[in-house]
Amino acid sequence: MRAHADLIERTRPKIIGGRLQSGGVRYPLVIVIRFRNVSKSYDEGRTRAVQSLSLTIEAGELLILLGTSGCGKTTTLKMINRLIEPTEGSIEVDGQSVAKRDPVQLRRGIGYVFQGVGLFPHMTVGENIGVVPRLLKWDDRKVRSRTDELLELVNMPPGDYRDRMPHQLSGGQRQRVGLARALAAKPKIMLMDEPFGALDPLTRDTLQSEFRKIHEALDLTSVMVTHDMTEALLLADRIAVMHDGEMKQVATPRDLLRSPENEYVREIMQTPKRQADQLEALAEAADANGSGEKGGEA
Amino acid sequence: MSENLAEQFAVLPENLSNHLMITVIALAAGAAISLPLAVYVVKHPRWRYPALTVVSVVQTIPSLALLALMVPLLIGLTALTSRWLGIEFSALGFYPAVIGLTMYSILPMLRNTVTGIMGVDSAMTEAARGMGMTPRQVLWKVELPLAAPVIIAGLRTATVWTVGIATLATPVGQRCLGNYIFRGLQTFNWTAVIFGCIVAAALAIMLDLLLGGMERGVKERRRMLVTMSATVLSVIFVAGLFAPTGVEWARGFGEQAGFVADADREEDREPTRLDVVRIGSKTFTEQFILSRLMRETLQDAGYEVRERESLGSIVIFDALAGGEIDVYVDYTGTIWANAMQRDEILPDWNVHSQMAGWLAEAHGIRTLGSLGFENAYALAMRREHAEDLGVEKISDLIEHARDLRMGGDQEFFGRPEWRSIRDRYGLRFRDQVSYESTFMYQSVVSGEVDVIAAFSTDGRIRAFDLKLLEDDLEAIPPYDAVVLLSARAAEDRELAAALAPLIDAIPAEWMREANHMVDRSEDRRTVSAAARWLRERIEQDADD
Repeated sequence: MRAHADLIERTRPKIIGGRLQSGGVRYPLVIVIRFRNVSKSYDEGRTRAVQSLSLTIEAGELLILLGTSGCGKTTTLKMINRLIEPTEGSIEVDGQSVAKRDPVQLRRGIGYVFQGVGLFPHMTVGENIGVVPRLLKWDDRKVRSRTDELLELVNMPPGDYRDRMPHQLSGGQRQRVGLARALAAKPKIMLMDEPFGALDPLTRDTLQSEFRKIHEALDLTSVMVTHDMTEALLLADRIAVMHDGEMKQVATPRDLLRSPENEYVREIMQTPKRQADQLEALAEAADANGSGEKGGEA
Repeated sequence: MSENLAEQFAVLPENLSNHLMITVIALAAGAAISLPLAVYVVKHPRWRYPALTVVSVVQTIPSLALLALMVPLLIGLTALTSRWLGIEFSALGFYPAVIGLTMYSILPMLRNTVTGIMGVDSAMTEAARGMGMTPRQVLWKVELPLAAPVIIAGLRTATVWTVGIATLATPVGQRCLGNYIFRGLQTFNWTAVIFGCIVAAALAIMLDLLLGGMERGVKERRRMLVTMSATVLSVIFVAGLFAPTGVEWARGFGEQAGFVADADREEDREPTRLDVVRIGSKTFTEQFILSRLMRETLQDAGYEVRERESLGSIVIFDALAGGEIDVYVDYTGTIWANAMQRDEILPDWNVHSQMAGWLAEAHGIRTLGSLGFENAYALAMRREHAEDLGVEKISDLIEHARDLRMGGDQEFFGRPEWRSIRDRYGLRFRDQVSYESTFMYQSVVSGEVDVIAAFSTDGRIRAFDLKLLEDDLEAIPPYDAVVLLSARAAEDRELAAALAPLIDAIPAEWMREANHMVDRSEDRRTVSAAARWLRERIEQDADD
């Protein structure tokens, strides 16, 4: 049980502290992204990926779309910057319907971190980061100083990494570059599709907390897709749980754990607890064995 | 170095530079067509299958036929453009060669570009779109760079093919490395054939290596390698564009230094006098020798001369009629049957006068006169074999024909002469085989066929000791060698006067002897040596 309590402890100050301190003062509940009854179906309605989804995402919030694969979370994310068009309903960004905006301009204003990173293999690290600024016709000097600034931000010395090719980097480094690239044109909104999915646990842990810091430091509004329960609970301000194209509940991690609104949410919220219990049991057994062995040696 | 090899090296700059020029221009044009087309069909899948099908069908047309077909098409086109737009261009040589080669180069480039772009990971294109690239930016910044190795591989294939197929530009009148091969095959000059093949292969391998370097550089993202290969390729490309002009300029420079008299000649030039006389020749030894003979005769009369060698027999007539060449030697029977589409067998004088009248009336072509010999189809057998069977004349063949095989060149069995021989003598052979004419002679020597339709002045009749069978029922029309002048050349009286000494000056034995000098297997002479020999005989004869 100790592990689980820790988990809550670690999460609480961020959510409660962060939101209570700033909520109402720095962010007077500005709604940045709003889904109104959005549905997406394929094959003329036979396959329904997302069903009547309504959701608002506030300024400064880190919202996580959580669910198993095929639950519609990535579709939901991609509808925000019109990589996918909804079949019904509307989506607003900054109070304006995205359907009325030029998709190219819309996307240049929104940072996007892709599943599997999506760095362009024919461009150097620096060129990858500079893609959007160059699309926005920044001059070369400005692109270069921004690139270096971002490499510093993600803890990759520009002198060492700027001119490398993506295939010369480790998975974690590539992910940092992907993050830097998404931030290049100073977007206020970040969309992230399983950004830490393919990393080893240690690297993932480091990058998660680095991202949380960046999110706060840059005042971002972030929407992240993940199927990793622990990641969601530790990182999010709020979590939207999705299943079979429907949104089951949207709440802070704490509320999800405390008062699940339905059976599905209750069910999945058991998993981290169960895993924590199992881990604890394992740790206790190891302690017992460890002292036993020591005793034997002596 | 032997005289033969030296002669091959002497024409290398011209042949190689022209070969390179038509290859690079065709490849550039092919790329200019296939890259945009590929992009279009990738984005419009409805057109993908039709486009690839059409291009693949073009590829199945035999290359020689495709190139040759361009000539009549372009002659028609230039007639139209000169009437409507006042633009004339040569329907022989450069244009048909480049257009044909361009059509061939499209398939590999189109197919690889389509495959390359479609093979780009969709995660990459989605990332590009998601970052706010327009479709055009996705294409240029992501899809094309990532597809580049596959696209370059297509360019490589196209390059190797085009270098090879460009050797077939010779028969449509474009000088290239094929000149070595076509002339060599006809004159039994294997040195020339092999020389041509080696140079063409070396060119193909070199370009392939350079493009391979570029492909690897792009794939492994090694910018140095890409830059280096691209630089060398661009140098070759630019060199290819200007090489023929450069070679000609260098030659001209040398000649100008040698002849100061040029300026004087300019002044007393008649208005109708041709600046440059273009001599055509068909694809066999006799034609090469006569072309060289006329060239030297005209050069001595102060003309600048260009030779267009190894033209197909229909192409060459169209070329004269269309004013693409000025003079060549044809044979009365060929004009009679092919150009005039006549098939009755008439006496010599009658054919001559009808033909001259028709040529003048229909095409403005002047029949300058007969050279003095005939080069007719003649049935020939191995001497021993003929003696064994007791065959002297064609009618002696009637009783044996059922057991014998007959060989002819590619066109023979489709010609009226064959129908005439067959029907008048009632010949039915066991089998009929068509050969390229070089191999036809070989096949009768080796006994694969028993009788061949040889040419009466062919040096190989002597070389292989073949027996000519007498045409006792006069089934074969006359084939007098006649000098024909284009409408333009017919206006130039000096030209006619310069060629006059050749008229009625070459008996059949001399022609056969000259052909023999080039075709025999031992102590072989070059075409120019044979032409020199013939010229000396003619001059001696005139002096006597």
